[in-house]
Amino acid sequence: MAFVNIQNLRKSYGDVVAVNDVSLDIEEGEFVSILGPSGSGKTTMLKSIAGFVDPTAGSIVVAGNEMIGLPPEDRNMGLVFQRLALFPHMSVFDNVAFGLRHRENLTEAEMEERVAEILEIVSLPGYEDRNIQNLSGGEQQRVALARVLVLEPDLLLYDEPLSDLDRQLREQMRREIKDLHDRLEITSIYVTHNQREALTLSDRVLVLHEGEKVRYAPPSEIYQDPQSKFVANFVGDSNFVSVTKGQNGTVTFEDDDISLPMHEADADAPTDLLYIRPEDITINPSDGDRVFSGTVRSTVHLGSVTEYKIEVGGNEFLTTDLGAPKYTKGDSVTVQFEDYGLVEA
Amino acid sequence: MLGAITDYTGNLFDRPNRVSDWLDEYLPAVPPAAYLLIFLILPILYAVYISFFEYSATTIISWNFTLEHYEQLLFDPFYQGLLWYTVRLSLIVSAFCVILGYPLGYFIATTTPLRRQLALFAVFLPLMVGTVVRIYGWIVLFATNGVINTVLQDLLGFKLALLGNTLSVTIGLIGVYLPLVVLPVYSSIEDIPDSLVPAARNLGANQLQAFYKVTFRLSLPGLLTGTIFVFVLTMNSIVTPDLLGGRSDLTMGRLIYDSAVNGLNWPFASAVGTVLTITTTALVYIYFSFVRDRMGVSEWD
Repeated sequence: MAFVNIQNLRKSYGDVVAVNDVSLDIEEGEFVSILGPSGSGKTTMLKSIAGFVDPTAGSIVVAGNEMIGLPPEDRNMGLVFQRLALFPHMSVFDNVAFGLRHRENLTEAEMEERVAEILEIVSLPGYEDRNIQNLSGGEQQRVALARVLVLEPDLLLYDEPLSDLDRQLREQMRREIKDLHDRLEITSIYVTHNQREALTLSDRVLVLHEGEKVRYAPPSEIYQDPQSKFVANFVGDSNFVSVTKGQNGTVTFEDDDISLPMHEADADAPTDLLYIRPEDITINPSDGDRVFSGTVRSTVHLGSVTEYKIEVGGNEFLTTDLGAPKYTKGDSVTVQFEDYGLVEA
Repeated sequence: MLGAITDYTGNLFDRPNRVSDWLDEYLPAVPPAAYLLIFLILPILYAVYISFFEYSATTIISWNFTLEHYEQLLFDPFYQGLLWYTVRLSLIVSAFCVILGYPLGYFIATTTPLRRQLALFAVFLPLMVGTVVRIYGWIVLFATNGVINTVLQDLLGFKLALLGNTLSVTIGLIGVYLPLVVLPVYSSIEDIPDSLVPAARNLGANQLQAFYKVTFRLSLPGLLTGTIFVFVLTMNSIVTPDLLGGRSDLTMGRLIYDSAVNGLNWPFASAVGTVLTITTTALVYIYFSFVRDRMGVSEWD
């Protein structure tokens, strides 16, 4: 059995089903993200695992022990909250030692040693006597990590811990979380609506949509083979075109006479929706197949890349190109569809 | 042109004018400070001053220095008993306001929005009705021939002394001052972020430990404020003990009123006031220091 084994987890509030029969296996040391928009059930799932929500049905086994029925304090899990939930009336030491006082029977000296050790790991050496309110956002974030890591939990749970931070700090903390996990290898579940965090941090990503498990796979697999329109759109951007499948292994755009050769893997797909990633569309290619003419409809400079909307036949396609804008509205260009695939609508 | 504009705004915002800076900062404080000085501090100082002079039946104050009022208050067993009665009454009323008010404040802070509104309305409602009106309502209920005793007499054939004793004074004062504990407790519990108790549970604290170490500790400033209000007001209460109590339910406040208004003995009344103020301040300070040192409130409040 996997280290974490969740079977048919279900939570309903009256007629509203928040989590609908989701099953999930996590190997020891794995970092798994639960990715979904708000209302997808990801927080309910995390709270069920942590013991703050009683699931309607299902089982949650961690390290061989059934968790359902155990109060939160008897599950050896560390939870990092969205708003950190540090205790404002306690020093850094008392925040970090809080769990040690309840979970372990240590002398004051042993406790001091453990706290000093973990503060070293999160790069806050000597911060014991600091006041929580006088710490920067990043330092508070690290105290929140230290407070759960010091207990050496079986399972580490993150509830969107970076969503309240500004962009720069978010990037930095994301790297620190990744780094900590690489060093300590604690099995982790990370709840987020941010696909970038999910893709960069995780070994595997669970995509939830309206309480249902849509996909559970490594990030690259999810990105390269989204399988459904929801995933193709939620994990990265996509252009969608309705197509009809031809006899000779081609797909034809519904409103145009544009035809593209179909991938072999898509031959049996029971669908007529084509997705094309913006980065898989090249403007004015030097040569090659699958080139069509179009007109630039809009240009947005995003810094390192420029985003264009280009009309090809009756459809508008979003595409990105490195560097500053090279084309302006109204320009005639050619576009090449380098890669694409079929997804379920 | 641009230079002229920046020069102008520079002048407008960085006036190096110390007198007007000083005025900007302190002018708004002048009227309330003047009010407090004229109508509070000076009268108190005057009262303390006259408490050191003899009473005269003809001129009220005869300007002969004496310590007799303080000797009488501090050494006469009657007056000692009166001070002790007032302190004991205040401690009991404060304690019951905490015991009843804290759970109510906790309930209001943690219940559903609809129940919270109803409960807050119920707590506020007595504050809308004047103390005297409310107390006369109780008299109608509790009197020897009042509503409760009439029912008791008819059904069970006996009556209870519900009015004119220390019990009725205590119940009355709790009723009057309970909202003063409930409201600050409610507001300080409501300010605690929702995630702190779950965080404590996640770190191994059970429900009771999480409540004590997080909710209770963080609500202490509210509880402290509320109990100090109740204690100080009970120490100085006059109307409720007067209307609900008997002859022996004499508080320091009633003594001041009797001496100053009925007896016209202003020096003695002033001495009682001085002793009462010092006692109240000292007890509040001891309580405050205890909570601060034992609970570590001051660091974050």
